[in-house]
Amino acid sequence: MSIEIPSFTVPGQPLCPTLQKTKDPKLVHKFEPGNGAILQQVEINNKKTSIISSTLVGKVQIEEILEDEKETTDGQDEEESKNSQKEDNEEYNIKKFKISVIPNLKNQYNEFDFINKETTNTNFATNLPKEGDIVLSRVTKLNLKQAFVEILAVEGSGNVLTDSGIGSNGHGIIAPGGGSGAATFSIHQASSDLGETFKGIIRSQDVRSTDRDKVKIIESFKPGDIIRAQILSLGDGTNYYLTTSRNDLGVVYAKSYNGAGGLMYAIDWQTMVCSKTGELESRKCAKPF
Amino acid sequence: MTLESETTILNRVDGSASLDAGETKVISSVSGPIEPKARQELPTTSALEVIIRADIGVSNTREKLLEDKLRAILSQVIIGHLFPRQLIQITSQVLESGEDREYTSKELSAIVNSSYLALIDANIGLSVSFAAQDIAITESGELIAGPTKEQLRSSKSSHVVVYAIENGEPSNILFSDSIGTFTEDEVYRVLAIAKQHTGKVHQKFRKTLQEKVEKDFVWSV
Repeated sequence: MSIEIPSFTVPGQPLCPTLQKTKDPKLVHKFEPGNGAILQQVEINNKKTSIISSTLVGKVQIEEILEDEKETTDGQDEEESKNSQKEDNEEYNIKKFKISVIPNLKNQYNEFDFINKETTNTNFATNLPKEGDIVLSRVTKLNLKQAFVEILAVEGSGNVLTDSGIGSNGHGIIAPGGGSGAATFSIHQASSDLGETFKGIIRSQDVRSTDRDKVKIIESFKPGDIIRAQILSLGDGTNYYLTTSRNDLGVVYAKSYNGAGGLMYAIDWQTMVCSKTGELESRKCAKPF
Repeated sequence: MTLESETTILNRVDGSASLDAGETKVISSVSGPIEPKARQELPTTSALEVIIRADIGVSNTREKLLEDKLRAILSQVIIGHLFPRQLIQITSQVLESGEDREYTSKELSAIVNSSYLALIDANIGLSVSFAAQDIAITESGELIAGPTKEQLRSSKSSHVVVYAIENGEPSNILFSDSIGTFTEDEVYRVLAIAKQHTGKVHQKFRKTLQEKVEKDFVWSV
């Protein structure tokens, strides 16, 4: 009995064992992990087996690895493994496959759009925010003319940089690249360690589309708010320029009293209410639906 | 076990305290809230800078590890949102370590306790009081709270436990650190013993703080 390989996967989902029998008793399929897949050791009924599982959300792609590609490699290790393969080969024919997961990046309604090997090489390169993208960002600083944010994720393709886990560099909360010890920015640790978060600016005239000259930044955003915004331009090389001048853009997550109080909910376009105290604070709210 | 403490011993910082726990002596100081460097600034909470200086020589990885442990405790109790975009700097100078270099339990508990007093002296808002106790387990399985240098040397494991203190009574464990060979059962015993001792430590601190308040305020006109 052969196991069916899922066609669409989520991170952590097992795809197949590394070796699989086929209907032909002499033929064995051997799988190797490609992009978006990893080799894992699992224990099933006290027996250790290696399987391949997915690390991405996406479609599974299986390619056959042709033998003569392998022959070109050299080195002693390779020779040893070849020898052992030869022993195996006396009993079985091995057909090798590379199994990879292709993240469905751009247009999920266009089925011809996604198979593009060049763009699936690294997660990092594909998730860079670009003009027109909708991003989630966190407010870090305000002044009278603009709000400074750091970009956390690009909508539809995930975090800008991968999360290496909370507390992997010590304890407590520390600013990106800050001082002795730890760095814990919950979303993208690697980048904040280096002080290399993707920064953005929302200018006051880009906050909303009506009454643009009467916008007060302090009545639109507060430090710590999570904002859904669109990228206007790549900006000056240090900062992206973002806009929230659309109904579906603006503050999506905020806590009252500068992040110390309870979660707040939008009650109209410009007001959020604290779920614990009922206190009102003004924000440029995003349409929730 | 002796435990003597005093606050406001340095006049150029916002808060300071010295702690004399027998063989171990520590001075801690707190400056804050002060202006942080741009790279330290956090948008919604206060940044913490923890510095520990060894009694002998320059600080190395041993002190850096102690700094991280102290940060783990203090970031739980300091009410950071009272001072957003500001810095609280905590410096501890070990005067006498009272233990060999390979141990840190006596120093850590003294540093934690003295920084508690220094933070109060600096009027930094804390969400809860706290107190630390160091404990060693001997080869025979006996628990010693506040071991001497010799007892620590012959022990099979050493532990530091920090309890949060609410209404004068130890409540939650803020931090627990163990080094050596020990069983699960021994850890539970350590936690139970530490709970009693941190309560006593806190009672002593209340006296220190009472003296501080009497000294700091004008009570009669």
